[in-house]
Amino acid sequence: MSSVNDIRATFLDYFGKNGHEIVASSPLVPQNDPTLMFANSGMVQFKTLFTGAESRDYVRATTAQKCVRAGGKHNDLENVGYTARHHTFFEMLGNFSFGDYFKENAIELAWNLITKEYGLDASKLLVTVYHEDDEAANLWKKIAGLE
Amino acid sequence: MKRLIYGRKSPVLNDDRIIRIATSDNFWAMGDTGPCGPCSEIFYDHGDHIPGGPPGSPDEDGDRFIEIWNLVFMQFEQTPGQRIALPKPSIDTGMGLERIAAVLQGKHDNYDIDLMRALIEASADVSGTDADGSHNISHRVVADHLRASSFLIADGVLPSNEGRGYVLRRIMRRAMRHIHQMGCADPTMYRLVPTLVAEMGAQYGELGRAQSLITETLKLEETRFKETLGRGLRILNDELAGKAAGGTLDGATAFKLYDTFGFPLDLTQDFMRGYGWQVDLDAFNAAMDAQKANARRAWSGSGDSATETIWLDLAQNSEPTEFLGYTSDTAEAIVTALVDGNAEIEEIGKAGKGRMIVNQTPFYGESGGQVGDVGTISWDNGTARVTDTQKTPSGLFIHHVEIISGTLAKGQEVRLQIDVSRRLRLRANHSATHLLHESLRLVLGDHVAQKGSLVSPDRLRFDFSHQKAVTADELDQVQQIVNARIRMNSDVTTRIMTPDAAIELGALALFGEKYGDEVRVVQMGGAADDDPSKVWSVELCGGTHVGRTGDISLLKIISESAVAGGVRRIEAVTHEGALAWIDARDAILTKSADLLKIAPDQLANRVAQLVEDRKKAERDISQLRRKLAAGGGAGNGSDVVNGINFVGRLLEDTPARELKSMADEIKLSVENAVICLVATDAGKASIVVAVTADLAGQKSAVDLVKIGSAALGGGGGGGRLDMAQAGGPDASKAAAALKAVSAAL
Repeated sequence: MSSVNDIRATFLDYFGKNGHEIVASSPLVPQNDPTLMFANSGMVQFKTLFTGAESRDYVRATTAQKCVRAGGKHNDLENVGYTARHHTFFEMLGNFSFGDYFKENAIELAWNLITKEYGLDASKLLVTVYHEDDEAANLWKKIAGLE
Repeated sequence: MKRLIYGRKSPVLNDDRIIRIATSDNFWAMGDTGPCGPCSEIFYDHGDHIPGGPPGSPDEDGDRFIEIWNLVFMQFEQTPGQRIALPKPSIDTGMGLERIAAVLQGKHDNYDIDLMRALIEASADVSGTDADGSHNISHRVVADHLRASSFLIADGVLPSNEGRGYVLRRIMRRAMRHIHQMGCADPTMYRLVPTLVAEMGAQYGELGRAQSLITETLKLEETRFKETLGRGLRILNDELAGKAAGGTLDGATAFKLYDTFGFPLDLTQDFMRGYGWQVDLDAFNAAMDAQKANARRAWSGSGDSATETIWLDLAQNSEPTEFLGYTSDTAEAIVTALVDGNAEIEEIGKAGKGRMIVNQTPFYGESGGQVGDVGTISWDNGTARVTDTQKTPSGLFIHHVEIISGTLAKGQEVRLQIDVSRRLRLRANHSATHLLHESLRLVLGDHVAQKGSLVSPDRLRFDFSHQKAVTADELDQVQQIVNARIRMNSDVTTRIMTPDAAIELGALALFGEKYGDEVRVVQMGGAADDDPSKVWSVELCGGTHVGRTGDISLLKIISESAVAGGVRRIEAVTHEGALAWIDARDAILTKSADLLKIAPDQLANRVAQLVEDRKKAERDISQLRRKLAAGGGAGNGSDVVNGINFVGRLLEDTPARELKSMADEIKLSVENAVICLVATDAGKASIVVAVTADLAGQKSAVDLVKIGSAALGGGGGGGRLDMAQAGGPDASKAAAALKAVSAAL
């Protein structure tokens, strides 16, 4: 059985080997976003890269990001403890392309990680796509053989 | 409500495993404008022994199909008018580590994965309870909240009653309430920190670096919370007593618990939930809004954004200003922009004011607590003052200029000169701040972390995390250590290195601060006590410093105070400022000693003696006044008016509070008498009338005192029938008041 630490390391190594810069988690208190109380997803520290306001010397990145979801008037705090999947603190694994690879590579990288590196049984997996996104549906058929 | 778009076939598992969703669940947008695009989510089927339908089906909220990974295809740019295709689309994905770990470890519950299980078992261990027994929910709460609390503290958040600090406090207190419920009498949560560091410290180094701060913070919060927890829980238990499950707690009680006992709302909800009760949220919010309306304060830190947009524009069109001030007090530079208000201008004329950007500068822009430089600029046929220098996040140095002569134009070559003596004092104060920081850590402990700093020419101010007042003895030690390091007069060195190398070196980074690829590391104070190969003080810092610590000359701490819960503030002076401060104190001592005609070193004894003398003198005066009233004094003595003995007394400079006891004393020696005492003090008058017991029922002290009060220009008065008191604004009518009372008999 893989430990959480192994699972995280496998993820980062896998994307590292596939040309992604392994970037450290940003602090929980966002540095340049006055609208956000805490980092709540992996993309927060890359916002300016996605909008094109900033560029760095890499175009692919992967992170394990510290996240907190507990702010605001209505939140998940009161459910934590009673349910199987509510947390105030959690880690989000992510891979990012800043104008580099797109849909086909993203699907391929994801599918290979979970079925080969993680070894999940493909028959236990299913996916959703946006109803207008024929391209994604066709790629899933082609890459994963899903019907 | 989600709407399922049926494909070729109905979405039965193994039949159609690509499900089309038409809701925003599968379309992501950064905001109203900006990048956006469709998403694709990967789900894992935990098997048909668990209820729940596939995504998009009516019973999709069941637990059988669990989303593990969301892929976002950012292929559009949303503008106010339209959605356009991006030429170079991007990818953003997110997979919850706890979810995928549960799937890979064959668990259905995220709290059964190895990491969470280790924390849950540690919680069971320290509380002496069963991990899977009746307290299992509490262990899960504690495991989760321990992670959130510890990581927030490591990133610089401290518990408080607003903003992020309050979210942290709510999380901590919710866990602590559950710990209390497990029967733990002493603070317990902090004992779990070593397990968390063991599990997660390898991936997140900040956890180990902040371990002592996390431990101290949790321990103190739990100690404080326990003080009110018992009383708060008693109130809730009273509400529940004898009532059936499924009730609703009124909002006023919930708010009182919040306001008086520090019970966050969700803690009250959590407790009541255990009994099947709810809380009246609308009434709670109404009570909260009413309180907020009374004391509304803006969230700090937003800045006046309307006038700041110009700097964003300028930063896009120009390079950051190069700072030369670490090594130079002067520089030649080219004016790259001039700004008036929020507009770029071409020139600033005679007596004009404005803001200037140059390509390079020796002027330090305010940052890291150190205030900006002032100085002068000159050019071919003009000069100007620089009254302040600011630094934008994008690295532009904004010089506030006031023209003395000539016209300053964009593109002009100028010579910049900082105020050197002021900068020397700033350097001394900034370096002294570093020495102070390290000394505080040595004397108080590793939990001391910088929470704020101001380095001005006159003094330094340092805010740091520490839970109680620093004692005089501790301050003394800190000051001695700093001054010993100053006297060692060792070199101050600065180096540029990677953040990792700096932390390796033991640099005190600000928790939660994000650093670039390179950081500036300032070392000073000679060798560390415990390891001669290491430097005593190492900090990441962009400020300006002295060359050797001896340049600081002297540090004198002048105050220690509280800033906020768990944050203390020390103010100190150095260099010439320290000497000036000591001189000023000395002058006060000398002047005081001269007034007493003694030597300054006898001052404390003499003042103590004077205070004692004065107390005794006040007692004597009070006794004398009473004797005076009883035995005679100004005014008339004893008359017989209408068959009644009238004792009238006029007392000058006598406080009103002494009159009643005087009247009581006189009453002991007379019979069949009305006593009237009128005192004057600082231009005002007061009057007391007393009636002896044998006249009870015949004469009323209250009626008589009103007559006297009226004569004094006052009104009213009151008391008992045998003793009444009143006042009046006109001391010159004191004798008339005596007469009026006498006449009324």
